[in-house]
Amino acid sequence: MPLAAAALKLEDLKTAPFDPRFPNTNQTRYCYQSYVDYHRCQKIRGQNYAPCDYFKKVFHSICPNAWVERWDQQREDGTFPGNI
Amino acid sequence: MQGLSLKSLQKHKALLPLYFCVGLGCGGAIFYTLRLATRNPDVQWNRASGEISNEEFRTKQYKFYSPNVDYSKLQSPAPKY
Repeated sequence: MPLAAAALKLEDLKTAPFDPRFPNTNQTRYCYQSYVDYHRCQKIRGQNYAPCDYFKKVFHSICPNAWVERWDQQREDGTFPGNI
Repeated sequence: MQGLSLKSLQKHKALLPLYFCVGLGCGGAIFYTLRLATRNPDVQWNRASGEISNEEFRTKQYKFYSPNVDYSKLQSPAPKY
């Protein structure tokens, strides 16, 4: 959707906010926890529960894309080690 | 060796600061290692106690020393589902 992309203003583009649960420089756990939380949230509340999208935003900005791709693949194959 | 017993230490008072500093260093290292082993949310000793979680730090300080941030006033922006 090129129109929607053009409507995005610079102010709308924000990275994940500081979370006091993960105050360290190493944000790996923030990434993983958000990924797990997102899918758990969707499992509990269904696909269309808006607050879940917060976690999606966070893990997309914190996690390396390669990790997200690998975890998605693992979830598809049923080998994801986390408890969703 | 001179200075290792209390009696000979009386004659070598210059060793006292050395013992103090080494003691402080060892004590600090042991204390912090134990703190990491027991308080760090990334460390789990017992599998039966469930998944490791940072949830308790939503409004609590996690760092050992944080002079300029008051964690009791911060709120985690993550929603609870």
